[in-house]
Amino acid sequence: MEEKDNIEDIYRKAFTGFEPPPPGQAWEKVKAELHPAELDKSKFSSLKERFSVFSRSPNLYPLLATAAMVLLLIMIWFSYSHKHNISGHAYAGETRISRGTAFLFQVYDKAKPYDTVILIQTAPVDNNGYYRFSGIIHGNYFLRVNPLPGTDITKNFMPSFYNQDSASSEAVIIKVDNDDPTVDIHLLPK
Amino acid sequence: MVIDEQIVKDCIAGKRQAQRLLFDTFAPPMLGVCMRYCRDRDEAEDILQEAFIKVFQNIHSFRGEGSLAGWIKRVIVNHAINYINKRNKIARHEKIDEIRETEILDMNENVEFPDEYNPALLLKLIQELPAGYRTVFNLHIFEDYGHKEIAEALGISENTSKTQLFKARRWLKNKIEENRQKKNLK
Repeated sequence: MEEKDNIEDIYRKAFTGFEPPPPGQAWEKVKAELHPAELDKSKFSSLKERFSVFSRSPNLYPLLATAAMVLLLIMIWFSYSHKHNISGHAYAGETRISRGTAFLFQVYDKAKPYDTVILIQTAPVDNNGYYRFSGIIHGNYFLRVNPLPGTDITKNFMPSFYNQDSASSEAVIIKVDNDDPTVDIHLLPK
Repeated sequence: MVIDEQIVKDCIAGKRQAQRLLFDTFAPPMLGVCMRYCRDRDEAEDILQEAFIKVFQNIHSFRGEGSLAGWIKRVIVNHAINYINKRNKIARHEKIDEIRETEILDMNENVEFPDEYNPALLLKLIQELPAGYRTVFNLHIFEDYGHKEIAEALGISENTSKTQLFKARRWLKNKIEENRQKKNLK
């Protein structure tokens, strides 16, 4: 049984100097095991190398400028498309007031609006009683109009919030979401 | 590429370039060794990479007695044996067959070996062998292990080793014969 037959010779002869195609990823795995710290370093240097090749490209600055411009336009579009206007007319009785000031307050907590309001914009009320706030983000607001001091209107009407119907009634929250609200305000008579 | 003493010293010092050089020099022939012990190339590459980690971790113990290639091959073969043992691929449960005298006589008949047989085909046949036969055949034919050494390495009896070698030879002989007949039919 120990005697050698030619199967052994066949195999010995065939495999003398036999080399299969070299292993694919084996070295990378061996290296990762032997030099774990260098792996991260080599990843970093590969990135650095790519950037260095890129930075030598003559197209770099035009490309960066174009990218910056596109980014800027996107930001402008985004900021405009997500901002709103609040506009309307102020009335004293049945007529529009001639001049005054509109005040816009943002309400941060709907549950306790009077404790969390901040004046964010004022706008003039024109001769036709028209006012307009622009660049308003989504949220909850109070709106007040003061007639111009010293005019006849101030003698007969009080500064009023939307949508007070009496001196003791409370201001109504104006909710701004997807639309531009038109809010007409009626001053309370004295 | 000649691997000189300096490269070995650099490998001991953990220098990556030297390790790469040593790996590139010895990995292809050692992959050939691993492939003889496995069923496929993927498994062989797993063994190769694990074994090379051992090579680099233990290269300080290479004293320069004998060739570096021989030392690396021993590490690779030992690792392959451990790997196979761990995966329990050796058919330890195999019953030790009594080999009949006629079969032994049969064994000594030479096989016609057509010229077109190449290492790739012979390797494929080895890989098709059951794991136990394959391991014993490799250790006996290529590493010149005696049955006692094989029995110790694989945790089997000498008789099992002999039986498995006998069966491996017979199986390979039949396969080579089948291949030859197929070729003749074509």
